[in-house]
Parts: sequence; C-alpha cells; structure tokens
Amino acid sequence: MEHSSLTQPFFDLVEERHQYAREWKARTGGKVLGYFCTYVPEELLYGADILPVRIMGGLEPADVSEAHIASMYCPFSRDCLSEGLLGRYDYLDGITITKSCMHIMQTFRSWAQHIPLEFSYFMGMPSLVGGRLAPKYLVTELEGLKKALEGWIGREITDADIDRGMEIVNANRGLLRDMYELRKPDPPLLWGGEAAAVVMSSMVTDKREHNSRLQSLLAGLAQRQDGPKRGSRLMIVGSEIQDLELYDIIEGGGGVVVMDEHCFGSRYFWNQSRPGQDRMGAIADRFIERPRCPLKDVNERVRLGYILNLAQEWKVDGVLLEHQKFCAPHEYDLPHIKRVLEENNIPTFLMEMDMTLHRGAITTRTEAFLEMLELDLV
Amino acid sequence: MAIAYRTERLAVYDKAKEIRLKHYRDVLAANEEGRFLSVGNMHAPKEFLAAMFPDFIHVGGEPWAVFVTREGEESGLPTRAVEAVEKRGYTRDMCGFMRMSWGSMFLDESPGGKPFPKPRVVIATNQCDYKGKWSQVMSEHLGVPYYCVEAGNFQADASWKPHEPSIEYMVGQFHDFIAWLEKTFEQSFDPAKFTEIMANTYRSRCLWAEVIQLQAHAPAPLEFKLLLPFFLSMEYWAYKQEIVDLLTELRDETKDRIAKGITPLPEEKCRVIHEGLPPWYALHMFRFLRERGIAVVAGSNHVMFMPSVLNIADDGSFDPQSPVNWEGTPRNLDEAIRFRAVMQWQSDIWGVDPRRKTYCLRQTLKMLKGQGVIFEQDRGCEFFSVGIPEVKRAIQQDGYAAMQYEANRVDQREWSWPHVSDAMETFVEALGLPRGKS
Repeated sequence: MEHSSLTQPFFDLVEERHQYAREWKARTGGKVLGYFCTYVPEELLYGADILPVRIMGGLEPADVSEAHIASMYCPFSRDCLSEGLLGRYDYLDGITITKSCMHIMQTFRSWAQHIPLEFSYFMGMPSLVGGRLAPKYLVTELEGLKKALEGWIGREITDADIDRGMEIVNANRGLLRDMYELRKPDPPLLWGGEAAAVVMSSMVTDKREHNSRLQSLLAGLAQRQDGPKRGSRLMIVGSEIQDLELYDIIEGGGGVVVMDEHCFGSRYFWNQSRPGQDRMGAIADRFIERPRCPLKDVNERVRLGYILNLAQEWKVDGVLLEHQKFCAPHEYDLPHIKRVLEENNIPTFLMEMDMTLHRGAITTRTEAFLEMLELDLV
Repeated sequence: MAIAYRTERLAVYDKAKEIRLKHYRDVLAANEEGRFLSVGNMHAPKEFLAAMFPDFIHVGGEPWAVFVTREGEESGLPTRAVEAVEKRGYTRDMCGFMRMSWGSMFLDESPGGKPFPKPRVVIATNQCDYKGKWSQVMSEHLGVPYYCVEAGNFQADASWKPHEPSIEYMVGQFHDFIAWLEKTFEQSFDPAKFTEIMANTYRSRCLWAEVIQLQAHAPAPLEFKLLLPFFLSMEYWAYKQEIVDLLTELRDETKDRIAKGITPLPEEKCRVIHEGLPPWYALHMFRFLRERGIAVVAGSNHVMFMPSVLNIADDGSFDPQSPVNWEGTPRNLDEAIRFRAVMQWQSDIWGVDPRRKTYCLRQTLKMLKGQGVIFEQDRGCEFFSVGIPEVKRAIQQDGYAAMQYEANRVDQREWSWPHVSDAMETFVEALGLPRGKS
C-alpha cells in the first residue's frame, strides 16, 4: 500500500530505526538503551539524557534464537533475541526490562548473557497493580533503577531532570492521544497503518524530535485530501503487533482500523504521569493506572470493560482479536474479550499470528470478515 | 560402575501414597462433610486458611490435574477435560496443569464420577504468568471469592539471598490477606496456630533437605520415582504434622538403607538428574532407565526447596551439602510470615531466572555425583521450561552428558514414547553404556 507523504516519514523512521539510533549517538554523544516492554519508565531515561528504544523483531524466522529460547515461547520474544544475536542492535549501550512475561524475560536474560553490554538492568514491576501495596513497592523499584542509571551515566538524575523527562514523554503521549481522536470521525483522518507507524516510530525516535514531527502531522491531517474513505471500522486487540503489513492487508480489503488495544498501540501511551512533588510516585501511579497488560489484570478484571468502552467510543463495527502464537497472557483473556464484545453486538474475528505473516491466509480470512460485516451477517 | 546391590521396597512409600489418596478421598467428600474447601495453585497461601479453619482442606490445581490424569484415565476424563477447555476458546499451548484442572471444573467431573469439588474460596500466589489468571477464571466460573497474592520475584542479580524489598512486599500482602479472610469469612486468624503451621513447614523442608543430602551416597538409597509422593507431600502439605512425621520416617529409613546397602537398583551403572517433572502418564520411563542401570537420583527442582533452610553465603550462594539450619524454625508470627515469603520467593526465583536454574543444577550435579542430565521440556509448563536451552548448554559445556525430550505433563496427545525412548537410548550411549536392557 502506498503511503501518503504526510505519514511516509514515520514509516521510514520505523524501517530505518537502527540507522537513526546510530546517527543520534554520533550527533549527541548520548547513550542508547534498548527496552523490551512498555512498562519501562521512559521519564527517567529522558531525564538521564538516554535514548530509550523499543527492541523489535526483524519479522524473519527466528532461527538463531532456537538455541536459546525454545520454540514453545512466543515468536516476538524469539525474534527480538534473534535481532540481537544477528548484531542488528550493535549500537545499544545497555538494555533494560521490567518484570514482564516469562517469554520476554528469557530474551532479556539471554541477551544479557550472550551480548554483554555495559549496562543491563532488571526492574521489578508488580502484576497486582490494583493491590494496596503495589504503588509503594513500585516506587522502591523505580528508586533502584534511578540509582543504577546514575551509576551508569556518572551523575545524579535530579528532580529537574525527571520533570524534564516527564514533560518530553507526556507531550508525546498527549499528541498521540490527539492523533487517536482524529480516528473517531467517519471516515477517520488517517489509516490504521499510518497511526501504527506513528506510534511505533515514537518508540524508536528521540521524542523531542518526534513531538515536533507529530505536531506537523496533526496540522497536516486536518487538511488532507488523501485520507481513508468510508469502510468497516475495525479495532485490533492483541499483544505485540509490529508488522505494519498487517494493516495493509486489512485496509487493502476495504476496512479501516480506527482503534487498537495492544502493546505497539494505545496501551503504550494512553495515560500520562501527573507532574508533582512526588516524581517517583507520579511515575508509579501512571503504571498502576495505565491500560493493563493481561499480566497485570489478575485480580479484579478491568481490561474487559476498558476494551468495550474503547470499541464503543470509537464506534467500531468489528474487532480483530490478534492472537500471537504461544502468548500465554493474552490467550487467557481472548475468550473473555470475545464474549464481552459479542454480548454487546460487536462482532469479532480471531487471527492467529506468527512473526512472519501468512499473507494469503490472513487476506482471505480478513476479507471474509469484512464481507460479513458489510452484509450484516455477524 | 556395575555392582550388584541389595534391593528392597521402601517401607514408608505406601504410607506416602496412602496420604495422597486419602487427601483426594477427603476432597471429594469435603462438601458433604461440611469442611472448608479452598482451590487454587499448590503454592497458594493455604497455610493462612489452615490457621483459621480447623477442618480446612486445599485443592491444589497442579496435583488435581495429576489426579485427573492418572485416576481419570479409565473414563477418558483427561482427554475430555482438555477438549472441554479448548471448546471454550482456550488454546492447547496454555499451561497443561491448568487445562486439566479447568476441564474437570468445566465438566463438573472428578475421577470416579463425582462432581468437581466446589470450594468456598479461590486463592492463589501469582508465581508465574498463569497462576493468578488460572485462579481468576476459576473464581468467576464457580462464583466464589478470590484472592491473589503476588510472589515478589523482583531481583536484579542471581543471588539466593532474600531480596528484602520483595520479601517486605509479600509480607505486607500476607497481612492484607489475613484481614481480608477475617472480614470475608467472619472468622479469626490464630497467630499461634499459624506459627506452628509454618514451624511444621520449616521442619518438613529441613527433613526433605536431609533426605536429598542422603541421596548423595553412592549407590543412591532412593530414586526420582520413589521420591515423587514425598516430593508432593513436602510441596503440598508440608504444614501438617503428619507430613513432618512422614518425612522423619523417610529420612530415618533412608539412613537405614544406606547403612544396610539397600538401593532401588540392583546395578547403579550411572547416576543422572531429571530436570523438571515427568509426564504423569509416562512414569514407565524410569523403569526403562532402571533396566539400563541408570539411577535417576533427583532433580534441581528437589534441591531448590533447600535454600530456605540452609545458610546462604554473603555472596548469595548456597551449598546444598551444608548443615540444615534447624535453628531457623519460626517461633512467632513475624518469623512465620517472613519464612512464608522467603520460601515462596526462592522457589519462584528458581523458576523464572535461568541463572538460578543453572546454578542450582550445577550444585545438584556436584552434590549427587550426577554424570548426566535429562531435561524435560514441558510444552505445558513454561515456568519449568524457562531457559532450558541455556541451562542445557551450560551443563554440556561443563562436560556433562545431556538429553532433552519434549512432553506435556498432562496432555497425552503430545507424547511420543518411541521418540523419547529412542533419544534415551542415544543418551545411554552418551553415558558410555550399551543400548538396551542390561
């Protein structure tokens, strides 16, 4: 699918992310820290003048990681490790992860063992985010990360630094939210694939630069003539969806993705940290309150109602439930999400994914779902 | 190393099996008898309920899955159970224990035809990606209250020294759990009883540690399959006096076997470690190995319960052969709750961090004079299978023979004995032994 000149730069940033990071390093002399999960506090990293980059897969069969992570673990975790082992992230100065799923934590451990870097840090992150003690515990862990970062960069991360980091990251989150609001009209002002590229590019670009590009984009979107036409309004719910070609398939078939709830989409940026005296508390609160990964939705369920609200607010006609093979946390929730949506007259379609796209199968099935939506058969 | 030894039945073995079978008889009769029944993972904080309800009984999902797998075979319950889960939209690669437990629950069927034992409460410790979500679904389906405690496995380094922020987090949660229980069930928590319960747990672990240390003797007085019902008792009911008594008897009989030269194998040609729990429908693999003179002496999952009753060095290491620290037996509520947190943390850390698995396995091999390792990569258990390729590579680089087989602990549809036995024959040759029965 050809991309508009408005949004092509964001696709380029994703495609050329390694080159961007190398150039950023050369330009600024700064350190680049790879991270594996969106529960990493980027406010602290920007405050430390570090460029955080989300480690992504190469969307190729993950052969080289077979010797490190068994094939019964999710393709994303294996693909990320493969990228590291193949040297594609040779510009990284460090890696970090917060307590996440067992799959991606293996990636982190194997990476730290076989691709040693000057900094690698594991930070605890509560799963029971609704628990009384979770915020206090999380602040302790954030303090630990801060101290480790200070040891690495050789200076204190001051309150002013954290405020600055918070401002940079919050600005980006706010602009991305504004962009998502532009997906509410019918037709939306941008394609789902475009939105996805913008979000993904924010994960691998200095957010100060990304903020200014995003502001230009938002101004340009209001004037665009080459946006989507009316079609079935879809939402994608799932885990890690980093293959932008998926959107080409869906939107090439007549649908338009107007909303999402996944790790490379809205879950990443949806809420902001509230600036205040208690900086660590503010960052902790943001993680406690943010849209939950299923690993965090363990006690009382919050996620089901949240997804339903998004689907209703963005007036979706149907929801694609993306199922990454072997992704245990999401596998738990998918039947329940399906049930809740269908009980509220929102049709769903389950799509199993691997790191390489089965283009033909997905095209056929997606087109069938879109036809059924159009014919009001579901 | 081919020497003919005297073999004799382990006298206390039948007692362990009877305890297990009695437990399930009690579970199936619990509601009729008006007992307080809880359900959840095996390592759920059941000790707190035991301190509140005199007639308390906990159904651990994992051993329940094994019970369904083994005792439900005749009626086809295991296959029907996992299919019932799949019909509800859950996938086959999810936790095997969970699918079997859920299936029994969804079908409302236990081995023998009785209904699934409906609990008063579901409790869990969120020790892997599954346990909390597993229990969440159970509480929703059964319509009973649910409480989950988070295992604080948040440590940046590979030390076995308790990570104090994690321990503090868990201790705080346990106090909240007590308050919730008292409010929900309008029953008082008995601190003295809980202290005694945790003291029993501590003693059970001490005894277990001594038994595993005795396994270092060559020839080994016990073997992996013989240890299974005791392992279950230690993991599941360690808080009960009858388990302290059982393990005391096991330890004393093990010492006696060593003194008299009694072993489970007439010939111990080789000693190996089995990593992970075996598929419960395929325990015949141990007979296969026994016929070839291979003693499967234990696994690192037996050893990983030991650090909680051993002294941990300043550098965070432990020596499984160091004297068991009986002095650490909890004496009051604070010590009891702390011990409960520490023991949870240490076992969970073993599960999710391959560095600790590797360390623990190396210690196990050294202590038990192992010559090779059989890795069970369980497609139905990500917690046990985490990091196996890295652990295996490390062990092979250390010079040990290693093999790996894939299985699913409860789902027989994923088992292929011809493949596994063929791999085992090759492993036998790698150990320097001839193929086939000796």
